[in-house]
Amino acid sequence: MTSVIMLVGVLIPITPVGPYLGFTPLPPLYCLLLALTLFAYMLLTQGVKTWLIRRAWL
Amino acid sequence: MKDEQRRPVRWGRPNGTLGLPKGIFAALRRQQPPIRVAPILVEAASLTSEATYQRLRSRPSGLTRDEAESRLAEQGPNVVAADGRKGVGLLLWHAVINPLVVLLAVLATISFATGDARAGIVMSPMIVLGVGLRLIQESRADTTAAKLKAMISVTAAVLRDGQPQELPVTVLVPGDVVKLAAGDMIPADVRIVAAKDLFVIQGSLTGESFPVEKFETDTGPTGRSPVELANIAFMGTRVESGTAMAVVVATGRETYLGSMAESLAAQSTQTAFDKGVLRFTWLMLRFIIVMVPLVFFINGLTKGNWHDAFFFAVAVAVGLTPEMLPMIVTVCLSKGAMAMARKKVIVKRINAIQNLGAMDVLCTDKTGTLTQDHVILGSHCDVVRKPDPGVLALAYLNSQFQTGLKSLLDRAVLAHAQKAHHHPHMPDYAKVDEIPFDFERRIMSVVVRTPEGKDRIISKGAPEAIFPRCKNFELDGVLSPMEDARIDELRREYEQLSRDGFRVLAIASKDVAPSGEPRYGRDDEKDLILNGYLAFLDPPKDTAAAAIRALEQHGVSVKVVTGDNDLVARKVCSEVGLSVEHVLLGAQIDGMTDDELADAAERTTLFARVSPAHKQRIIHALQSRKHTVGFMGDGINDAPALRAADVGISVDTAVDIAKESADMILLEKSLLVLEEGVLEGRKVFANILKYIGMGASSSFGNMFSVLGASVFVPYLPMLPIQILTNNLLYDVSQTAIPTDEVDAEEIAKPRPWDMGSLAKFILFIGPCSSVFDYTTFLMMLFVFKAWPVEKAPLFQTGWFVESLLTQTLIIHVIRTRKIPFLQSRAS
Repeated sequence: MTSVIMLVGVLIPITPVGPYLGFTPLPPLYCLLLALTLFAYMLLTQGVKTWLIRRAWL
Repeated sequence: MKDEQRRPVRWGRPNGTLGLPKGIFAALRRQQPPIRVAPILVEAASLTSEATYQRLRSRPSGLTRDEAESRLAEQGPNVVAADGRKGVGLLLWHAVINPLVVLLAVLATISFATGDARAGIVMSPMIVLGVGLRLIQESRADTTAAKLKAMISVTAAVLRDGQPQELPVTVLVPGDVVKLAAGDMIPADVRIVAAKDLFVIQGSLTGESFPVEKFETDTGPTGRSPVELANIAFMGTRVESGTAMAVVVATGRETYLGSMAESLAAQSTQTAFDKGVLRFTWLMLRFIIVMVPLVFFINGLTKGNWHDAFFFAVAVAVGLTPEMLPMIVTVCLSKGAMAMARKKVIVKRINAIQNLGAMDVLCTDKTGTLTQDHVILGSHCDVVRKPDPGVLALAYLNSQFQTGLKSLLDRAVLAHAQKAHHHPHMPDYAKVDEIPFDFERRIMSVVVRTPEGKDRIISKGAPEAIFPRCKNFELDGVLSPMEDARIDELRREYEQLSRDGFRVLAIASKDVAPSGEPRYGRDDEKDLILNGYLAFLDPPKDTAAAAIRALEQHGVSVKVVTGDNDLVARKVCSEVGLSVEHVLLGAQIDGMTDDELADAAERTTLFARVSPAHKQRIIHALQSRKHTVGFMGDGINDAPALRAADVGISVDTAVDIAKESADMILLEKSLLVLEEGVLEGRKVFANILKYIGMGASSSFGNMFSVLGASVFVPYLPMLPIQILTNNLLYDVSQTAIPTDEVDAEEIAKPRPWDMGSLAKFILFIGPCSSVFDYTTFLMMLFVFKAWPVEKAPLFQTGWFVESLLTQTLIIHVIRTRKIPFLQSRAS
């Protein structure tokens, strides 16, 4: 389910619906940086979560 | 007439998960009416039969038809509670009148009204999705509950115009004279005016397994509990044996049963879970109330376009609204309900599933829940408690030959002897005579002709009644005289049996040479030989011990709360593996303040001789100590406790009112299903918490991002319609949550609603997403040079994609305590 939604999210800007909702296609470099961002985000959240659990706050 | 003011008794609690009005009504709620016995009933108990008739303007020949009609018009029908099923309109109202739905509807209306139809169109499916799913689920639950409550029509034998006739119990009025016979339900609260061997099972009111004697007497007011009044029989109890004439004293809601039903209707308890969800909702609403004006003014001031700023603020409000919460909660719960149904558990109030998972204390009644509610002969022994087949043989002859209605105990003797094949060869014995039971002697005897040609008198009764009629006792075939010194020793022996939780009867006999006249009377019941004792018990269900062990392994402590005496209760507890170190009696509870009771209740594992009101107090006391309390019971006396508990559990064999009051009903005898239900409930809870954790932390993070971007970016950081689209897509991705798997570790222990750890989670996880929102902003602004206003779509698209992807991806991190994808996978 999450992958479907993520795919929709990535595709919306380049579909015909895109301009209607005020979107514009994104440059290729963006995709690379986005992937980096997502990876870093997951690492950070996982780290914070583990830290919270270790401190018995969860 | 005061009854008109009373609202009808509502069966089934409102299913409001996020019931805003519930909170409001709670404040307006009336004081809960006490469970009480009508004063006139206590008065009637102390009057003579004649005076009772006078007091009720009646006579032994009963009321006339006219009198009865006018009294019926005046008093109302003899019904305890009116059926009040909620219509679809009311259900719809419950689903719609929810702060989140209202907020969303207001925002959608504003969007349509101000010409932003696109925003309105995106918001509408959110509302329909949430309300629709909830409505369907709740009306389904309500229909099931209504089906369960199939009312049985019951009649009573009433004297009208001096003629006995069978009339529906609903038309009974005070003053009516009714005839009671074995098997009858007591149709109202009645004063016994004439009784013959009347035994009434009032376990449904008191929790006692054994029938009690009721007889015509002027007991006078006693300090004891009203249910112990010997000349009063209560509505909802049942005649075990004997016959009686009785005059109706109280009907309908004036009855003890009625007052209990009323006290039930008055309390619509809000569980820890309801409160938690409500608090979360208001927390989010407060976020919105602070955030939205702030966003509006910042964007209005920095961009100078108040129209755009307004729509941006509206979209932010929608984005912050956890509008999928009611839907997620309902779907999670009904999924749980269906899983329970497969395990033969009817869930009447779906909220209770989650409470079952959060439950850390289960209080259970004894009779009918832990035990089979089926008295068996536990042991037959001689005077030093050694098993003795001879005693069983005598008891068998006595029970088999007696012609009166066979009591619970007689049936237990016969069943046991037939199963064990320990009964005498019947054709060898011929019945000679019988001396029936009466309340003066409190014993009964059968006389049989033995194969040796002697007449054998076999007497059976309570040991206190048998002892004075014995001259000798038999031990190992040797007769010894019943001397005073010996009597004390003998008494200690049978008292030990009582202490072990048995109901004890003594068996005595003697042989006499047949005289020509085969007539025996009470004078012959003397100089008997004490043979031994019969010990009866109500054994625990086969699965009780295993179920209790399983529950305790999963962090649920089990306590027994019973109206029965502590001796019987201790016996059952030790058989199912419960400690009886700390025992509390009803009388002790009376002397305690709520706080003292809460302290004591934490330690106590067995509460005995408790009244319905005590049961309720015990549950409230435990709840005051932050326990989520379950209650399992099957009697009328359990009904208030079933309502008071966070989760009320009943069994299929329970009385109607208990089933009505319960949140869930076990259709099968096995109690092991309880443990499965607990685990199911914890899964539901874990999934709901996932949603709340995700929704709240991403909203919290977005709040920072929106504020920062509003201040630094020269145009709207995201278009309102884009925010709404983002929101709708995110909502759809969350519909998968209810079906998600849950890690085994998460359901090993009860997880109560913990606002503290939820807040910490939101506080720490939320800003993580903000960090990367900001790096994206910087990336868009500096790498892709999105500063000029004409590059706004690039910035907006960049953030939209990043925001949606981070939100959906993070579901995987938050849904488990372990490492996502590698250790734990989503469904």
